[in-house]
Amino acid sequence: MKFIQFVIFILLFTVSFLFLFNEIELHFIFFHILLILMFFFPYYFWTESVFKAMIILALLTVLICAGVYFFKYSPVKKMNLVPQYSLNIEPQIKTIDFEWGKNTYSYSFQMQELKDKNKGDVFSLDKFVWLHNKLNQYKKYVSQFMSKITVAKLDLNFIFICLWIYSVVLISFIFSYSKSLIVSYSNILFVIPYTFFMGDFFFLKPFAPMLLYGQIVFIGILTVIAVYRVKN
Amino acid sequence: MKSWMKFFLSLLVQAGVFLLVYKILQWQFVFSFLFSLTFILLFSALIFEGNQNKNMLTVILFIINFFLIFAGFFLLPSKFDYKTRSLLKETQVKLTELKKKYILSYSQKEKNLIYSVWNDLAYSDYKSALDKLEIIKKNDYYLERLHSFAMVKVNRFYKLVEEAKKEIPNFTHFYSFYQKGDLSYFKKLIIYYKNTKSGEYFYNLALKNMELKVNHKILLQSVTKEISAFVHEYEKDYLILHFVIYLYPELKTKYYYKVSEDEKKSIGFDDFKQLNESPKETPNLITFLKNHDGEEFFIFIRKLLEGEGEYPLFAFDMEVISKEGEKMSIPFAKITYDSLVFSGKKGFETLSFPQIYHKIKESLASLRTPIHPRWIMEYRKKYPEVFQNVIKPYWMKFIKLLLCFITLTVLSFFTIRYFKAVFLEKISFVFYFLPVFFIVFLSLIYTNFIIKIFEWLL
Repeated sequence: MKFIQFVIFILLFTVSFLFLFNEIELHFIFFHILLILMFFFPYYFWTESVFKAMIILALLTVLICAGVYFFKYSPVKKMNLVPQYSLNIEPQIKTIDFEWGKNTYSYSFQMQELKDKNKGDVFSLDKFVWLHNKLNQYKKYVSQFMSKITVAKLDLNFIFICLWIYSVVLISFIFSYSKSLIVSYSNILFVIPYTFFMGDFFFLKPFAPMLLYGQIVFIGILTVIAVYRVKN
Repeated sequence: MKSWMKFFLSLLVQAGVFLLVYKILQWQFVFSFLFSLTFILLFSALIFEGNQNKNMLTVILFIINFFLIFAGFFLLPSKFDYKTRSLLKETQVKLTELKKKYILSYSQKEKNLIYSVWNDLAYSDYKSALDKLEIIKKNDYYLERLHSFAMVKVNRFYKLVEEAKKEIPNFTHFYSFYQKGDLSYFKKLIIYYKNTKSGEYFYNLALKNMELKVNHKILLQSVTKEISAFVHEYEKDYLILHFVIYLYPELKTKYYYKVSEDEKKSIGFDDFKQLNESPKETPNLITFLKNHDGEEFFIFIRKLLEGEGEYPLFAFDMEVISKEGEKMSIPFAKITYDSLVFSGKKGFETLSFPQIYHKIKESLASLRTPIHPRWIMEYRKKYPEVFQNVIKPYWMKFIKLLLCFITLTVLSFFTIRYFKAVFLEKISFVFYFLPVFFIVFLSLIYTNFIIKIFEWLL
């Protein structure tokens, strides 16, 4: 039952988040499902046993790595989501909107003005320019980032991707709060910047033995902290 | 914290969130309200009552919000302005300007001069008629027409004089007596030439003029004849008849049929008489009408003027929009029983709409705020067009809002249940700020998602 609830929540969260954008690609959707799994999945299995927790974290990492590997097979397809809506009634009627022929008109009783509604006055989150710009920036950045994790064939670079995924899973686990799921989920505020920043500057680089050594040391430290978190 | 304090604090938080989004960020009402609702439901259950499984506070908040939305839509006074009132200053100014254009205003002196012009025309004393018109010297539509009518007559008369000069020897000498007004002597001289065409004409003219001078009744008949010729000359010019009736009100019965025909095709000073006695204006009238060909039009009138007799109606600033989106703006129009009359580029234009007067009169009585449930049936029966185009979509939106409201509540309760399923402990105060950010984000994406989904589905 708990697992079903979890799946429903993840789906709802993902779909709601994606509906912030007017036009999205399938790549973009898959990438976010993977990200949300990385961020939200581990907390659900707070267990007393180190062994169990580690197995679940490892299993999740393997699953997501496989997911990233098959990422290249996702078809390139754009989807148009509802960009704007006209559900703008108010308790005090100042305007009335109605369709007449091909056009939608909005009549303001106070101003005694008739406006062609297609030319504006339709609500969309895009109207909030700051948010709109940030969402567009995010979309651009993500498409750049996705090109880094798309693997053509299995090579040494893929190890880096796997390590990056494992580090994200560990970090979200470490930052979680054993007494509250909501606080744990709220930690995405820290985990999201970590994910992209460490991906860009530490993990997703061309293969180099010294870098691999550094990453293994870093992940070793994270694992120790994670084990310590489980124990306490 | 005591439960009632939590309750009031929650209401304050919701009001704060709502005002922030609605007033400061100026997002739509629906979005702002639903966003604040989702936020407060999640906030109260997950933060204020973190360790309680029943979520009583959340349930109460839901009920209060439900009540608020109904109270907001049904109890708040609506700003849907339709009430009839006496004329505003702005309308009075416009009306006075229009009256200047349409209403005839001649001083008594000018009126007397025009009357004597008509008498001169009856006497065929065209020179004197033209001189009198020169004295009035008013750059006036009607007098210009009268002048050209007289000019045609003068030319015709002088042609006859020229013909007579050729036909009758010494006619120039005879004619000087006619010009002096010595008609009996002129008659005596011309009688010998009665057998000629010109002679006969001038003999009869002298005879007629002599009779006119002594018999007032015959003079009046002659004037009426001249007026008939004038009206006939400008048959298609509706304003001319208004001018004539203004000068000779007794002629209204004679031209009754033409007047009532013209009334449907023109705006005249007679129409404005209705507006002299305590006219009333009604703003914001909407109506949907079919013309003779069955084409549908949407008509909205910013101001409707009604006089004492309630007929005809006058519309200020109206717009007629076809289904194809063609717009026609009419600054001033008269509404008769089945037509719309307005002044266009080529004189008066008429748009025929069967029963336009009754439709607009009905809309005066039945136009109300579309949210009141009592009027739904009324609109359906009396005003199917308004119901279909305005009331129904409005109610659909209201239903959509309710559906969004319920769905968001269900979604919030599911989310609350999910978050409480694993850890049922009250979170420490230190951790409050993080979940608040998360809940804001969650409420934003939930609200946006649900509104978009319903907009897409319905």
